[in-house]
Amino acid sequence: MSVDEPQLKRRPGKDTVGALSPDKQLHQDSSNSVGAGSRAGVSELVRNSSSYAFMAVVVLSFITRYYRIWDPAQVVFDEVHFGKFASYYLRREYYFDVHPPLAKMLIALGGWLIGYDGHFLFEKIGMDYMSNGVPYMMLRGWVALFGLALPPLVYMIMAESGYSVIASLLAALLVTFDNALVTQGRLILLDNIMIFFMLASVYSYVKFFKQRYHPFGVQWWTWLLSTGVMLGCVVSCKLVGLFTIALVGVAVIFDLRRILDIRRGNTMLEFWQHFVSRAFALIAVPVVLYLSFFAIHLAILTRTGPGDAYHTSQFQMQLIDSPLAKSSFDVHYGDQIAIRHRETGVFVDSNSGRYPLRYEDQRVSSQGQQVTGAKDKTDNSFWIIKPMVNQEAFAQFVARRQAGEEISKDELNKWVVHHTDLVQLQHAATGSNMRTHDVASPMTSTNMEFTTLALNDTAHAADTVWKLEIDGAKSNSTLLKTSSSFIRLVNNKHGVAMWTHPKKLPEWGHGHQEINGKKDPTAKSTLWAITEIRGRQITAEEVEEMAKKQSGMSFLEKFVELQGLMIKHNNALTTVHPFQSTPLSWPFLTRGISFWTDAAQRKQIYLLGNPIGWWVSNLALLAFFAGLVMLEAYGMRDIDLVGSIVRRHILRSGGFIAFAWFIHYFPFFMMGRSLFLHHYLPASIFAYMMVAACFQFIFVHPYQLFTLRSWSSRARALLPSYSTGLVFAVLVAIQVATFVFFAPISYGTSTLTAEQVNSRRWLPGYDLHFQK
Amino acid sequence: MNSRKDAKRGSVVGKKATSTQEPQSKFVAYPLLQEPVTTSVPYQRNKWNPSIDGSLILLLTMVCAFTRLYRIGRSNRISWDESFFHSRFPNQYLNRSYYHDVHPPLAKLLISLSRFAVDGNNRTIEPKGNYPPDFNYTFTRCFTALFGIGLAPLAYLTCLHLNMKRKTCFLAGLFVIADNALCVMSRFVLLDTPLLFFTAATLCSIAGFQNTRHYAFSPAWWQWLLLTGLSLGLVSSCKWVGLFAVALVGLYTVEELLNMYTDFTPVTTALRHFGARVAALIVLPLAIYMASFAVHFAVLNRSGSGDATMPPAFQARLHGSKLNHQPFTVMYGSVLDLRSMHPGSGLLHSHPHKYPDGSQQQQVTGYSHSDSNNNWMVMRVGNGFNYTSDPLLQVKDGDTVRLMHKRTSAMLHSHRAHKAPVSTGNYEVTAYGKPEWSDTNNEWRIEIHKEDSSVTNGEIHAITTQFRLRHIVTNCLLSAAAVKLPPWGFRQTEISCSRSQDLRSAANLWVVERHINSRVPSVDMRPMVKMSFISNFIRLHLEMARSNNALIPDRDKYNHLESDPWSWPFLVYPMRMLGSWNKGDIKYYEVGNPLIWWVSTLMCLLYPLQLAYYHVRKARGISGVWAPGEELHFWNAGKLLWGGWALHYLPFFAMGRVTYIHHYLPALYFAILLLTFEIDHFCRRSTLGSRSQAAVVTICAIGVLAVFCWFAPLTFGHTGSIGDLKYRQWLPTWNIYRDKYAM
Repeated sequence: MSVDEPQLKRRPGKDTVGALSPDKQLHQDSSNSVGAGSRAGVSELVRNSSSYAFMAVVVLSFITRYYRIWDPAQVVFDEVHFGKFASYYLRREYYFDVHPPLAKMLIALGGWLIGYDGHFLFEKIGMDYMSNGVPYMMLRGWVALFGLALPPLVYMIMAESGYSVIASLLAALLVTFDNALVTQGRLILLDNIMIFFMLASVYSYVKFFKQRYHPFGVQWWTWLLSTGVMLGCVVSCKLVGLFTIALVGVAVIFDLRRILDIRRGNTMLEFWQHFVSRAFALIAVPVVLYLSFFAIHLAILTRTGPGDAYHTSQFQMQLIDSPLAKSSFDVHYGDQIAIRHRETGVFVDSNSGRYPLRYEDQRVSSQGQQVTGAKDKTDNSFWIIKPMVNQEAFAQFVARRQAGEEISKDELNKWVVHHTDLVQLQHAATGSNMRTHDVASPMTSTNMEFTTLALNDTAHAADTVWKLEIDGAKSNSTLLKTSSSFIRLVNNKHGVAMWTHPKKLPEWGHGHQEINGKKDPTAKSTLWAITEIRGRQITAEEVEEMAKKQSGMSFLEKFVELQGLMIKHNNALTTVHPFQSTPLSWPFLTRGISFWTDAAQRKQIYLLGNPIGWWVSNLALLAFFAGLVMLEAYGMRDIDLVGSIVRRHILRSGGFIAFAWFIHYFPFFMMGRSLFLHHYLPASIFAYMMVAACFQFIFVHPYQLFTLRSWSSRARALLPSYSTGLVFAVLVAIQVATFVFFAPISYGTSTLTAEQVNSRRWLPGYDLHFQK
Repeated sequence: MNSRKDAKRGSVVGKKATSTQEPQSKFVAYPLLQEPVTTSVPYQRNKWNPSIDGSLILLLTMVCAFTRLYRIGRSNRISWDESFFHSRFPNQYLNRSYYHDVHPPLAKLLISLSRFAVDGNNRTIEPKGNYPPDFNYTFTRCFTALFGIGLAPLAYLTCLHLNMKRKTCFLAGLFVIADNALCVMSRFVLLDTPLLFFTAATLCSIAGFQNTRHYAFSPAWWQWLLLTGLSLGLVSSCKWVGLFAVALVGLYTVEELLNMYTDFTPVTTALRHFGARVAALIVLPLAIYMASFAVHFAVLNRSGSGDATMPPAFQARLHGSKLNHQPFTVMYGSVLDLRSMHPGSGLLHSHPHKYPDGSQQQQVTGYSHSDSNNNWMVMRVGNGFNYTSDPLLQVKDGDTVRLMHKRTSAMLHSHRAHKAPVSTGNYEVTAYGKPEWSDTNNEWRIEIHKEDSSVTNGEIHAITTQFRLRHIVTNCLLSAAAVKLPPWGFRQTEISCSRSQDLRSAANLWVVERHINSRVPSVDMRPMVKMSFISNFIRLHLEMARSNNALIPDRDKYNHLESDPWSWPFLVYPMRMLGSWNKGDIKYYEVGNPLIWWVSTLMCLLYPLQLAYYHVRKARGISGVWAPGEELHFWNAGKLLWGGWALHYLPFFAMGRVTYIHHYLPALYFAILLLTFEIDHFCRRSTLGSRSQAAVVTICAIGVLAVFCWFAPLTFGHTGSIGDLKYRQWLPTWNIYRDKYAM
C-alpha cells in the first residue's frame, strides 16, 4: 500500500487509495497483521471488531446511565431550575433564564410526550417526586438518552478521525466510566443535551472534512449542513456553544487557506464557492436556527408568569393576563398621581414639615417644606400634574371637571401627557409646587435640595418646571401611562433629576428617605413610575379596548430585548456560591459539587469526575503539547522526526482535539461570573480523546495504516500486540475500578459509613457530607 | 509565506545556503514548487547624514519646544493630577516621610529633584487651589516639558531607523508636535510625559538595534542594545505601563532568537547572542528598576502616611514611628497589637458587635488602622497570677496563653460548633467569656516560626518574632487570609481558625506590632530588626498591586473624567483638565488632534488586513508585488509599530481599574508612527513621482498643523467665554462648552 500519499496532486475524484475497495483493504490489512498462522475465527473477529466495540460502548453506556435511574426520587441540584422551566413550558407561563431555550424545550418536550402537565415547580432540592406525582423517571430517562449517546459519539469521532479500533474504544470507555459525566448524564440537566450537540457538531465536521476531495457532492453537502444544524443546536442550548463554533470556525479558516493555495489548482471562483457555501451552512444556518428556537420559545410562553418583571412594560403587556396591562392607562393633566421610585419603592411624599435650619454638620438649609420618600402611600403622596402650555384652557378644563361635568373622550384626549412635556407638580394636600434649587441636600451635599414653592411666588417659578422623560421613548408622541411607563423628572432650569437612595433622614424627616436632585440624570436610579391615579378605576370596557390596541412588538424586537437581558444577567451571576470553583482547579479535580444529600440514610450525590481519568488526561495533554513543541522545534530545522504522514495526522487530528480542549476551557478564565466544575465537562471529553490519541501514537504500529484511509472507511482493527493490549486493559481497568469506587457518591444509591466516606476523600477539597 | 521566511533567514545571518544544498534531509511540504531564494539584500538602509538629519532634528526640536513651552506658566492653578505629582508626592520626598502610591518612584523622584533644585526642601505645597505666589512652578513644568519636547526628535530618529524616507521621517516629528493631547499633557507636571519619553526612547533604540542586526557585536549594535535596556529600565520605573514596552522588546527578541535557531546559527554564537540580551534586556533594566526603589527607600526615612502598608519591621526603622521605641521582650500581662503577616489582613481586632449568624458572639476581625480595639492582653491559663505585682515572666515558644480583648474584657475564643462566616471550611473565631472563667476554648499555644532579630532565644519579641497561635481544643490555627466580611462586619477582614496545617502560610503567621508594658523599659528597635531590601521591595510590590486593583470605577458616580478603553482611539470622550469651567478660568481641554487620532486608528485596523492581503496574494502565486527586501521591511517596521500599539492598548480592556483617556497616549505614539509608516509605504508602492510624494507629505503636514491651530486655544489655555469656541465641538459627546450631563 502506498504510504507516500501524493496529496498535492489530489483532485476531486482522483483518490489514489480508492484503488482498493475499503473492504478488500481491510481484509488485507487484518490478515497481514494477524499473520499466516492465525485462525480464520480471529480474523473474523478482528474484521468485525469495530461493530462489536461500538455495540459494547452502547451497552455499557446504557448500563452506567440508566442504573437505578429512579433513585433518588427527590429533586437533585439544578433540577430545581430545569425541571421548573419544563413545567413552565407545559403551563405556557413566561419565565426568564440566562440560557437559550433549546435544551429546556427538549426537556419539556419529553414531559409533553409522556403527558406531564407541569403542575410541580421543583422549588427546593430534596423535595419528593413520588408524593407530588411527577413522572420524574420518564423525564430523567428522556434526558439520559442524550447522556447515553455521548460515549458512542466519542467512538464515532475517533474512528472517523483515523484512530484504530482499540484507541477509539479506549476513548469511548474512558468517557463511559467517568463519574461526572454519569452523574450529570442521568439527571434533568442541560449539560448532557449541550454536550450531545457539541459532539454531534464535531462528528459532522470530521465527516465533512473527509469529503474534501469530493466537494459539493451530496455527502459533502449533507455533512456540511449537518455541522451547521448541530452548531445551531449547541449554541441554542447554552452560549458556551459559541466555543464549539469557534472550534469549527478556526478549522474552517485553516481549510480555506488550504483551498486558497495556488498549488492546489483551485480557481478564485472555486474558492469563493467554497467560502460562500461554508458561510451559508456554518453562519447563516446556525443563526436562523438560534432565532427559530427563540421564536418557538416565545410562541409557547404566551401567558404571564414569573419572568414578567425582567422585561420592559411593552414586552410584559403582550403576555396574556399580564397584571401590568390591567393597571396601565393614560395619564391626563389635572390627574392626581402617586409617584413611586423604581429601585427602592418609596412614594414621593410631602408633609408640611420643614427642613431644619441647621444640620448636624453645621450646613444651613432653605427651611423649605420637605419633599421625601415614604414607604407608605398616604394622602400626602398625591401630586397634581399640570401643563406649562394652554394654561387658561387647562384652568377651564379643571374647573369643569371639578364641577362634575361629563367630559367627552375626545376632549379628555387633548390633555394626555407626552414624553418631553414640560410639567409642574402641585402637591394635592398643601397646594404648593415641587421645586428644586441650588441649596445642598441635607445628607448628600453634592446634590440639590427638593422642596416646594408657594403658587404665588413667581420669582422662582422657573425652579418648578420639570421635563418629563419617559424611559425608552423614541418620539415625543409617546404617552405617559401608569405602571408601564418609567419616567425621569429633570428640572428644566438646573438639569438635575429627582432621585432617592435608601438612606433614611434623621428624626425630623420621620424616617423617610431623602429625595434630592442628582446631577447625572441618566443614572438608572433616577427612574420613577406612576402607580396610581386617585379615584381612577379601570372598567371592563377599557380592558377590552386595550387588548385590541396593544401595540405589538415584532419577534425581532422581543428577541433583542430578551438576548440583551440574558447577557446582562449572565454577567451579573456573581453572587458567591459555596460550591463555585476557579477554572485553574478543574483539570486537577481538587473539589466537587454537592448535588443532593439524604441525612437519614447517609446517602449523597456529589459531582466528581473520575480522578484518575482526569489526571491521566492531564498527562496526555501535557505529553501532546510537549511533543508538538518538539516536532515544531525539529521541523524548524527541517528535521522530520516521525515521517510526513504521521506528522500531518498529529498536527491535524491531534491538534484539532487539543484545540477543542483549549477553546472549551480557557475562555472561562476570562469570565467574571461564578463558575462551577461542570463547566469543564465538555473540555474533559476532549481531554479523554487526547489520551486515546497519545495511546495510538505510542502503542499502535504502524501508525500510518490508520491515518491514511479512504473517505469511506471506518475504524480499522489490527490484532493488537500483547503489550498494546495490556496497556489498554490496564488503563480501562483502572478507570472502571475508580469509577466503581466512587459510584456510591455519583449515583447516591447506597448508604455510606463515615469510614467509607472518608476513604473517598482523596483530596482535602472533597467536602463530602457525613464524614463523621 | 515560505519565501518571506527564507528571505528573512537569509538576511539575518546569511546562512540560507545550508538548507538548499541538502534537499534529501529536508522536510518540504511542496517540493515541486519550491522557489529558489534569490535575494538577501537589505532594503535601502538609511545612513546618518549629519547635515541633513542634524538640521531637521534641530528644526523639529525648536518647533516642538515652542509648542510645549509657550506660556507654560500661565495658569497658577494646580491642574489635574499636579496635585499628586507636583505637590503631594514631592512634598513627601522633600520632607522625607514615607508614603504609599501605586506608581514606581523614578518619575516622581525626578520631579522632586527639580522642585528641590528651584525651591529647596523647606516647604510643602498644598495640593489644592493655586500655587503660592513665590513658588516657581514654571521651572518644574519646564523640566517635565523637556521630556515632551524630546518626543519629536525621537520620532524622527525612530523613523530613520525604520528606514523610511526622510520626508516621512520629518512628517512623523510634525505629527507628534501637532497632536494637541500630547502637547497639553506635556505642559503640566505629570508622570505621563517622562513615561512617553522613555517609551519612545525604547522604540527608537530597538529600531536602531534591529537596523544593526547584520553587524552583531559591533559597537553600534552594543550601543543600541544597551540603550534599549536602559530605556526599558527607566520606562518601567515610571509607571507599570512600561511593562508593555518590555513585552514588545521581549517578543521581538524571541522572534530574533527563533530565527537564529532555524538558521542553524552555531551554538556558541547563539549563546553569545542570548547572553548579551539577557544582560542588556533583563539584568540591566531590573537593576535600574530596583535602584530606583533603593533610592526611594533611602530618601524616605521618616514615618509618614504610608507606614501602615509596610510590615512592622520596616516601620520600626523609620524615624518618628511609634514602633521605634517599645519594650522588646513580651511578658505575661503585656498589651499587644497583633499583625497578620498576610498582606492586607491588618491587625487582630474586636468590637462590641455580634456575628449575625453562627454563635452570635462578639466579632473578631482584621482591621488595618491603629485603634485601641486592637489591644489584646496576653494572659496565663488560670487565675493565680497577678499581672501587676508578680515577677515578670516571659512568653515562650510552646506556652499556652489566653488573649483578652482589652476594651471589652472578652477572651479570644474559637469552637468546633460553628463555621467561619465566609471561609466555611474554617472554625469561627469570636471574643467570648470573661478572664475569670475557665474555658479551654480560650486557650492558644504559641508556636514560634521565625526570629528575625539579633536575639533568638525562643521568647516572643516585639516586631521580630513571627509565630502561630494554635487553638488547643480543635488544633486549628488562627488565620487571616484577607477575605472581606459582608457589610455586617464593616467590610473588615475575616479572622477564622484554619484547619489546614499549612505552617508556612503567611495567613497563619502573626507578629507583635505594638507592645505596651509599663513594667518593661522601652528600647530602640532599630538595632534589633533585620530587614533586607529585597523583602521590602517584594512586600511593597504586593501592596502596590493591591492598591492598583482597588482603583475600581464606581459606575454610578457622577464623573466626566473616566472613559472606557474602546472610546479612546475614536476620541469620543476628551477630558476637561479643570473642574471649574467659567469665564475667566484658564481652561485646558485634553482633546487630541482628531485628524491624527482618527486616521491613525484607521491605520492600526488596516495593518493586519494588509498582512492578510499580502499573504493571500502570495498564496495565490501573484508574484512581483515586492521590490527586493521590501516585504521584509513591511514586516520588520510594521511589527514593531503595530505590536507596540496593540500591546499598549489592548491590555487596558482586561484591567478592572479606572481608566482615563491619557492612558492611550503611549499607544497613540505608536499609532502616529504607524500612520507615518503607512504614508511612507503608500508613497513607495504608488507610482507617484518624487514631486507628487512631496506634495502628499506637504498636504498631510499642512492638514494636521491647521487642525492643531484650530484646537490650540484649548491646548494653550482659553480664558474667554467658552461659547467663543463653538465650532470646536466636533462630536456630540465632547464637553467643550457643554457638560454632557447638563440638559
